[in-house]
Amino acid sequence: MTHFGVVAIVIGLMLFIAHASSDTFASLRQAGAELSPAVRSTIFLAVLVGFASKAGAVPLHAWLPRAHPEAPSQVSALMSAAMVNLGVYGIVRVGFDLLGGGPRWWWLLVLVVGAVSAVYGILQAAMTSDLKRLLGYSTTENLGLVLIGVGAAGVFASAGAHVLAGLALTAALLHVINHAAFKTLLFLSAGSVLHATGLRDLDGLGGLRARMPVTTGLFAVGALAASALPLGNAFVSEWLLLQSLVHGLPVSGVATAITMPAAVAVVALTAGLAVATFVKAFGIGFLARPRSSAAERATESPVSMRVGMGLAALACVALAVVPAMVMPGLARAAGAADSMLGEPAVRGAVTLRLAGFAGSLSPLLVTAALLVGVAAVVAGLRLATVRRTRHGRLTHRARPTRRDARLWDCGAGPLTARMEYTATSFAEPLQRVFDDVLEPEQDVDVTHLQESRYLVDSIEYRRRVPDRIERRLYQPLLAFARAWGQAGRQLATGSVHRYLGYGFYAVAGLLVVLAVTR
Amino acid sequence: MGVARGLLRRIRATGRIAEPAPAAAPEGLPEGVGDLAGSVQVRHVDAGSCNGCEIEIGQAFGPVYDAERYGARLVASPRHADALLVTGPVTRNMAEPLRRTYEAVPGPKRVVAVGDCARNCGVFAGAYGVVGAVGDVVPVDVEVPGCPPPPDAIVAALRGLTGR
Amino acid sequence: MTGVTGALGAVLQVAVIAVGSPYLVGAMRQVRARLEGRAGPDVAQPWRDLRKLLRKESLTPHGTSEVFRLTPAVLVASTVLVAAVAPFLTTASPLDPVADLFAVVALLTLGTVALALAGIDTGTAFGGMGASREMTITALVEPTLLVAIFALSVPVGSTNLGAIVNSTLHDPARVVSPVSLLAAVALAVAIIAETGRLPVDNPSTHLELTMVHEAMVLEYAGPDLALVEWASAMRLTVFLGLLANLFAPWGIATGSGLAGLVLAVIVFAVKVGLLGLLLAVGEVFLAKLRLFRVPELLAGSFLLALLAVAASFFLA
Ligand code: SF4
Repeated sequence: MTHFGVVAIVIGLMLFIAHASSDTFASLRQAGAELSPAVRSTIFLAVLVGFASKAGAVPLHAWLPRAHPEAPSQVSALMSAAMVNLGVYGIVRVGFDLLGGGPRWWWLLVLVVGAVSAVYGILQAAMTSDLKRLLGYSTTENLGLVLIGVGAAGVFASAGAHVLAGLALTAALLHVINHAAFKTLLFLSAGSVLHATGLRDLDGLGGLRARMPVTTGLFAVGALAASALPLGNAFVSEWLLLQSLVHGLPVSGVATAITMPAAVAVVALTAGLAVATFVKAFGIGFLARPRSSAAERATESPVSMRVGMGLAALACVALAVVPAMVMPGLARAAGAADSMLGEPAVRGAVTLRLAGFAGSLSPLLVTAALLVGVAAVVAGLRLATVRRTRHGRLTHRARPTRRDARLWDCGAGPLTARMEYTATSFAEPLQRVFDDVLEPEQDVDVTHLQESRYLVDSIEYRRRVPDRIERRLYQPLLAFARAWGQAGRQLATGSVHRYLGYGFYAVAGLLVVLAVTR
Repeated sequence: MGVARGLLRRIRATGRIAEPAPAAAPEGLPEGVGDLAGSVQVRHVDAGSCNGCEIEIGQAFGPVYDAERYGARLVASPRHADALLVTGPVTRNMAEPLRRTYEAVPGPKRVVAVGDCARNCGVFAGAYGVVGAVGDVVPVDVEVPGCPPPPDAIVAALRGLTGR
Repeated sequence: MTGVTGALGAVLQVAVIAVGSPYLVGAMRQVRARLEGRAGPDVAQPWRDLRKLLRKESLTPHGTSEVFRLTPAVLVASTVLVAAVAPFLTTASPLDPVADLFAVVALLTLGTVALALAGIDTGTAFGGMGASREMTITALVEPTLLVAIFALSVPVGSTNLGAIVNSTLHDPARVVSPVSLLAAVALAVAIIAETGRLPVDNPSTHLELTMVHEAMVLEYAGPDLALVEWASAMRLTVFLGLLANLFAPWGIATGSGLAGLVLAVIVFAVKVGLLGLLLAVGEVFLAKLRLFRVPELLAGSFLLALLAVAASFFLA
């Protein structure tokens, strides 16, 4: 698939270079301004197809969730943190810089591709129980969000709203950075889990909190970021993205009036599903009790792995608390993409303020207030308990404030790990809600005892949520390619006479064509 | 909409059907009342009753006797409970679950044995599946006699716990 | 001077919500009891419950982790933070720029997430079930909430709560515009779903299989449970307060002056009380929806929110 993407990029750029005097950025930029609209659009579309497949956008995402589970975790981290970002870089560079913006429909197309990728990616992530596959699909989702930002920036720029375009592009680029940070962390922790248990399947994990506390804590940092909640870094970039979309409504045209609310809804749905997905990944994977003996025997991974994860976590926390530190860089990047967007879109160190719009957020203060609040509540509760015993109201028995108790099992025997909710059961309600989109496959096999139909020997239940796009788009494509291969084999029999004959016919045909056209 | 209007008319016609509260809190309170200070969450455990007592408990929390106005409330988990309302003789299969339920309640806690069966196995005394009265399995604080006990007796016992 | 009263207002907001929210729950139970022909406990009963829970011992179920133990505190802290930053009594709060409407929604979601994780952490089937259902509902409520916020912010040009409230104060006619009405209905449905009221979730159910919120807190006991219940009462108050002040902000203190603040407290109590009353009365007439019918309800409210945005554009 990526080869297909490379071919598309090469075709697009060749076409571009053919119209320019040389292949330097400067001459391309110059040529870009003089191209006819049809050629420009062709170039853009070819490049978009190519870079979108690099970025893992739907429908060219199929390689992502397949490659990630198989690749070693460091490589997955690198793929998610660097390679997919290249796709975004390519689109921004070619679209804004070299081709100098373009008609609105380009960017609406980018926006739609981003929206579809975001929702589709997170839906698949919410369904899967393979930890690394989940993270792979989440990459598609996050890149989708970035493309929404890029597309919105393009739409705004083409309408002349440069401040807003700068804001949207800043949001997109910030999300690229944030995503790189937290996805690295998540893949490294998934690698640490894999190292310790040999498992990627969430249905078999659980109970790692007690066995691998460091990995658990760090994964929690990453999961918090990935679900775009306050205290996580992605919250800031999604907040900026929402701001740019909200302020984009009055920008002109019915197209934006329809797109912006839809885009906000998509971002919101994506955020909601991402929360559910990462609650599943963290809650089922790390909390509660182990669901397999492999998870039960897990031990914390070596220091080298923990250091790697720690660094990535540090980056996440820094980005979450003082996102202002990367803002100048982002403004410069946006300016490099389009000189009109060079104005910093976000100001302020502690409290981020939008330039040109009323809107502010202070991640640092929110984080601090929340932490102080939690500490205050814990302390307050302790105080309340101390006073309780001192007043001696509970005179008839001296009682410890906290007592261990068995889990409430409704009075029946102890709860086994098999009675816990699994990742699959956790996702079941969502799967039922999105039944029409996901088209899950399930079958139930009931084996009866020989003596009677009424006695059941065993029940087998299977459920799979296939990647529908993959199935609908790629399988026909592959079948087509295979059919061509078969046909080709008929032609290539290995007979030298035949090959010479082909050569003769080809030359003869060529001559005929030349004779007719000249 | 028609249903809603019908219901509204019914509500207006019915008015308040809770009986006026008996004046004084009943005597014979167990010691240590006041711990729970006007709020008792109740978890009901059927340890093997004939369900006669359940019907009366249902009445006690129904609109006429309305035990909730004295601060008693039925809850879903023993973790949330302050008192167990145990009915019936304790059968073999329910002895261990009853013990576990008692364990699961955070202290300070109370146990109310409702009905003659719960007090002394009643008509089931000596039956092969019966382990004994509730008091043989978990410590009992209050007993409510009767087969089944009338709702006002159950309410009175609960008022004894809430102190209201 | 404005800064001082603003800060005072922020503190007062937290105090009013912290103290008042159990009374709101008590009043709603009282209303319900009256309509059912019962006498019901008096409005102070939730406080009595909380006081008693604080005197009980805490339990640590086997196999649970810090997530389970810290969740009640996170829940309370996130709600208190929202109570401090959102304009409930005063628009002059110095904390206003700290968080806007998006951030407020996200903070409240953070509490939900903590609770869901705690439910999973217990490792019981009910905990997992409650968490799974709650997250499903949250994921579906989110689009409605944010799009409704979008609709509200369009005429104002900002998502800052203070700005929205102020602009409604200056332009009261906007409240009866189709945009505002549609957004109000959408937001109301979303809030009912988020706070776990009928018909989405039954707050007084005893049947584990029908639980959503209750199922996640089945393992909490004593002081921990007190925090969870207190937080959920505060969340209800905060959500109703937001609904009240976004659409009918009158009475809120705008400038300096203690008299305005005192008046704001009274007006706020009346507004939230009225909304609570409405909710309680409505609940008597409703049965809980099947879980898989809830998405239809939420899709309907989402449609309303989308219509509100469309109206804000085409009618502007
Ligand atoms: S006391 Fe009477 S009503 Fe109650 S369980 Fe025993 S037999 Fe049934």
